[in-house]
Amino acid sequence: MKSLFGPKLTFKDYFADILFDLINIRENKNVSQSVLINQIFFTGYEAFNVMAIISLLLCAAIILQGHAVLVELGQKNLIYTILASTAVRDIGPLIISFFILARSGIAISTELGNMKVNKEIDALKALGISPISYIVTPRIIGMVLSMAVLAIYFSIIGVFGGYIVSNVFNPLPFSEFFDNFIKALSMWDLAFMILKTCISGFAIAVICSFHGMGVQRSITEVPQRNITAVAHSIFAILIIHTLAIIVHYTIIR
Amino acid sequence: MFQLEKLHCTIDDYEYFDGISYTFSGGTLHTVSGHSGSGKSLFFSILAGVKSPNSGDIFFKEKSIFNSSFRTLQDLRKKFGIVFQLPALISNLSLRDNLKLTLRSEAEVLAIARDFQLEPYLNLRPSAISQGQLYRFALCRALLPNPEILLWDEPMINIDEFFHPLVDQKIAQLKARGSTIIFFTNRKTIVEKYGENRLILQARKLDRYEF
Repeated sequence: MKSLFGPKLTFKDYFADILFDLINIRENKNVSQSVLINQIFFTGYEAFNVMAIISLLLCAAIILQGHAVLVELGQKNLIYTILASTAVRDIGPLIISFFILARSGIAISTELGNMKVNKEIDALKALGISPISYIVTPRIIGMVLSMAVLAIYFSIIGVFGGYIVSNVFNPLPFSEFFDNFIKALSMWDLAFMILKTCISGFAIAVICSFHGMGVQRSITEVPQRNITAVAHSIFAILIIHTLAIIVHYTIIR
Repeated sequence: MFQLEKLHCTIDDYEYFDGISYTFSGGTLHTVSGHSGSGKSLFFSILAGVKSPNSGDIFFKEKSIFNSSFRTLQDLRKKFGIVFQLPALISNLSLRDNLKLTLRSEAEVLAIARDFQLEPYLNLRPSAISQGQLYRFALCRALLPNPEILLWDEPMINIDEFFHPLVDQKIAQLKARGSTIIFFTNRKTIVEKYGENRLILQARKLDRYEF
């Protein structure tokens, strides 16, 4: 646990310290449960309403557009494949990642940056408390758990949104709609959805906390570090999702 | 007891300390002064163990501060009391929880809060109280573990004069127990009043401070 004590914080050392902390989490008494609960509350619970609206509108809009094109092509049944791709497989996890980056990632980076300027991080170190264990690890765990739950929630709401729109053009009982939807999905789709959002959540939390911790002395560094955190996180999210799509569509399918 | 060995520190190609070696004896109050830019705050951070030097080490009870395992370091740090220039209280914890970070009992927390007339504010967050009260809480947090090393950056300045006799009494108790106390200050009045062993950072070295 040396990364926060050296003259310059490097991502390699910081990442190694986080992995070490996560591996030894059972023995670590410094991990703050209150920080973990707050993170789950803020990233997960408080995002439910907004996420429901986004999911409902997005899936409804895509089904609306898809329906118009597919009817012309005589491929009406592909609407379920489009819904599976939107709500579960590809677009849902990507939208969640960007939304959580904008909402919680920046909050982490700003909060840690301000704590660094106010010497709160130094105070923890001086008290023999590892700042990584106390404030970073619980945030990472909270972010990953929240994003996994949000992905499932987004899918459920998205399917309802899709059903409402689809019902206008092609009235069906929900059970029949749901059966058709399930047929368009595989277990891999669900596994990839959870995996992609969890890895994205981990990446966002690590990158944003690294930039927050990288603030040195001045409060003016905080927005500069936030901008860099957003740019690096977007890059990481796109790489994760692109790799997942490559693996999913070329190897597994 | 608290020994610095060949501390070198360079930041952005500027050399702040060129092999500082010194032993701080126990039961004594030391003052460290230095002009602006002499590296006083950096020296404080290195002694507090929150920043590491480029080379050299600090030994406390013959254990290295910078080359021990993190667990050993955590144990050593629990014997330190550190008051920063800013109050540095954890903003998302209540003031009671801030004091409890020192792993002291509720009774001890209540006792020191009562001494410094802070008991009514224990359940509040740091943002809800005045600056003067914040500094008193920061001092309480440093004094709670009965530290064997007390480091205080800019001592007394932000503490109401009404509490100075109480602070003097607490410091006298620590000295009587053999603790090492180091004040980092540029104020001559503080150095004259408290400094039994007066030091100054100049020309990248730590020297005796003669007025």
